[in-house]
Amino acid sequence: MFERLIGRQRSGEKSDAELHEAALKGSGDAMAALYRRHGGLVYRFTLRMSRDSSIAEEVTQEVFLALLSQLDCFDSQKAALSTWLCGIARRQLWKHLGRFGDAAAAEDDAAEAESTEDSPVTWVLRQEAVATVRDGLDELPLPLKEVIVLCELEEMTYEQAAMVLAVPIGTVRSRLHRAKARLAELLRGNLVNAGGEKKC
Amino acid sequence: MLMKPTGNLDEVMAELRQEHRTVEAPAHLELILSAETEAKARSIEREPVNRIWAWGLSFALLASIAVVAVEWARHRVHAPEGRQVQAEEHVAPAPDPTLGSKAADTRSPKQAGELTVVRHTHARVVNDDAGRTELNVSNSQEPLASEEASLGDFVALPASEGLPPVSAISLVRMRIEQSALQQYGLEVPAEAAPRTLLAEFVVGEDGLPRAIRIIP
Repeated sequence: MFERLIGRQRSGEKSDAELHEAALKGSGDAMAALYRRHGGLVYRFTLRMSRDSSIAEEVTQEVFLALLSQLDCFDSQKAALSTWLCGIARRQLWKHLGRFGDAAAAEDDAAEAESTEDSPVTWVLRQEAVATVRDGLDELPLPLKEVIVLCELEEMTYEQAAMVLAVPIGTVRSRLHRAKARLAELLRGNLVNAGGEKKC
Repeated sequence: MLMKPTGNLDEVMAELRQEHRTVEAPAHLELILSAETEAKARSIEREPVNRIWAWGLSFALLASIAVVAVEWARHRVHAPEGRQVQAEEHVAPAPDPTLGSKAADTRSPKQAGELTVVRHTHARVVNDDAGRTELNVSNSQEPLASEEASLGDFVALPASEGLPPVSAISLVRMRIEQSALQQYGLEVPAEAAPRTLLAEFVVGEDGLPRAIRIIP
């Protein structure tokens, strides 16, 4: 157990390329370290896009297994591993969504963030706004939704998102702009409704 | 005052981002992936051995196919020759009734340069219960036409010393010019048209011909 823990600590210090090479040679610890480092990104992305935890788990597993089988595809000199994994995840996800449709129900299992600084009314209004944006995000078309997830929620750069989506950077910018405009419009409408209800 | 924090999309998005980042990947996938990685490595280690077996089996299969092909080709080459010999035998003319005995030299058939040996086989002359002399051919692959013939079908050459002992005689079949029969003491009419005959000679152990038969 101690050796395994030491191995993880050591493998955690290695670069993605070194861990990838070790995983190709059959190191389960290296693969585990890669998963701990990038699994969250892949899982969050697939979960947000599919709104189905079982699909997200399946796609995440397929993505990391693809890391073992598609030896010649990943080039650490050209792209970061996280970007490459997200690209694979996106392709696998589109296959699943094509197979199962987009009828999966949203599973809202996110923990509610508590705020100690705001007043109760402010906190409630903020939570309503977050819920509105979250729901609006789910209503967005998939090309706009994935740009929001990558650039806003995962804070990828335009270049990284363009590599994941395999589109030009200008396309990423325009999609992001359109997506934000829709969400802002949705948010304004929600506020107007909330203000009207409040007046009543 | 209350509208400001909720009306800014960037602030809402930051809140959503914080919420989004709380989601973690399932821990059980780590164990599955680790086990899959090690299993795949083991299968890759076994791959060279499997590849050697695959190459060996492929080579053995190709070698077997090659041997069968060679044997089949050899069979195809030899089969037409057998039919050709039989055809020649059918074309051979009937023995000339005008042939008769005549004193001649005792040269062996091979010494007659113009003769062509068609087939050579060992035979034995045996006497059956009825006192008839039968000729048995030991080479049974392609039986001669004389295999069923008795020795009485043969005409003893005039200068021969009679039939050799039955222990071992040789039978020589050859294509021979009709005029060459004179060399063996047989009489050939001068007006007979030149043609080639298929003949069988009974040859003794000394290599000298003793009897002849014209194969129809």
